[in-house]
Amino acid sequence: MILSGGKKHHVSASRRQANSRMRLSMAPMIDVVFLLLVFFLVASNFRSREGFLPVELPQQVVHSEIIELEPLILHLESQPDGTCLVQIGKTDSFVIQPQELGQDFSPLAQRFAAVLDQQGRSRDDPVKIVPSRQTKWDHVVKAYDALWQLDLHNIIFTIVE
Amino acid sequence: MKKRHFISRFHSEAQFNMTAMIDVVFLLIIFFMLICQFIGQENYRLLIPDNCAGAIIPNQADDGKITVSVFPTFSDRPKSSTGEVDFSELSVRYAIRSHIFDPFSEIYVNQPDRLLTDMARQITLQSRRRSNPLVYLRADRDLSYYQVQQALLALAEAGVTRLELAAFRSAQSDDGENRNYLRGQQ
Repeated sequence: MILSGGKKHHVSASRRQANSRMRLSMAPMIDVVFLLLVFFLVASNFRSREGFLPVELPQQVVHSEIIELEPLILHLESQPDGTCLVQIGKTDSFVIQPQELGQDFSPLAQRFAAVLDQQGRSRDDPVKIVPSRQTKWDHVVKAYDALWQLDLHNIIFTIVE
Repeated sequence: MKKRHFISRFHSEAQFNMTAMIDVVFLLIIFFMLICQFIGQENYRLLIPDNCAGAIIPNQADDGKITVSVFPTFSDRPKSSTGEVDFSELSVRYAIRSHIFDPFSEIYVNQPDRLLTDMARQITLQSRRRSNPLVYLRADRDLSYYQVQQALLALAEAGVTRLELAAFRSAQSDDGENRNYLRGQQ
C-alpha cells in the first residue's frame, strides 16, 4: 500500500512538473514584439498621401502638325516678395498676393474663365502656360491646377531658354 | 545524487525558448511586408506643391509608375530679406527612381548636353522597354520652373507622354524651415 501510494504521488508530481514546463513564456515574446514595433516605427519614413495632376506631354512629332487655333497664353512670373505676376493673353496683368497663394489660384481661375467667355473660346481650345525662367514650380502647378479645375485639359508648357 | 538532479533540472528550465520568439519575429516581418509600400529608395524628402484642389488621390499604388524627383541639394532653405525662399542661384539634383543625377558633377559640367541624354536613357531603362510608361514627377515647390524643365525635357526625349505632377490636395502645415528633408541624401 505504501509502495503503491508512493508511486501515485510520484506520477502526479511528474505530471505537475510537465504541466509547468509546457507553459508558454510570454515575457520574451512581448519584449521582442515591442522591440520590433519600436524598430519599425523609428526606421520607417512616413509620407503623407499625395495626389497628382494628370498631364499629357506632346509627342515629338507634334511640331509637324498644323495647330489650327492659336492657344490662349498665360504668363506667370514669380516676384521676389512671393507674389506672382499673371497675364492672360494680352489683357492687363494682375498680381496674386502671398495669402492667396497659400489658399489657391481662384482669382486666376475666375479671370481666366472670364477671358475665355470674352474671346468665345471653348474648354477644348489650347492653353499655353509661359512661365519665366525664375517662376517657382509651386506657382506653375497651382496655375495648372486652377486651369484643370476649369475643365481645361489641352494645356501646353512652354520651354524657356 | 539529489543535488546533481536538482542542478540538471535547473539548467534545463533556464534554457531560452527561441521557437516562439522566431515565430513572432517572422509573423511581424510578414505583417510589415504586406502593409508597407516599399518606396524608400525614391522617397526623397522634398516639399511638393500643396493646396491643389484638383489633385486626384490614387486608389492604389501603381507599381509600374516611374518616379522622377527634382530636389534641392541642401538641408537649409536660404531666405531673402523678404522671407521668401531664394533658389535661383542654387543647385538641384534629379533622381529617376534611385538613380541620382547631379548636373554639377564634373562629367555634366564638361558635357552639359549629356545630362538630358543620360536621364532619358535611364527613363527608358526603367520603363523596361514599355512604349509609353506613366511617370510621376515629384518636384520641390520652391525650385524654379527652369530647374524642373530639365526633367520635363528628359521625359520628352524618352518619349513619355503620360505624366502626373505630384501635389497635395490640402494645405500642409510643414513649411520646411526646421525639417531635415534631405536626410541621407547629401
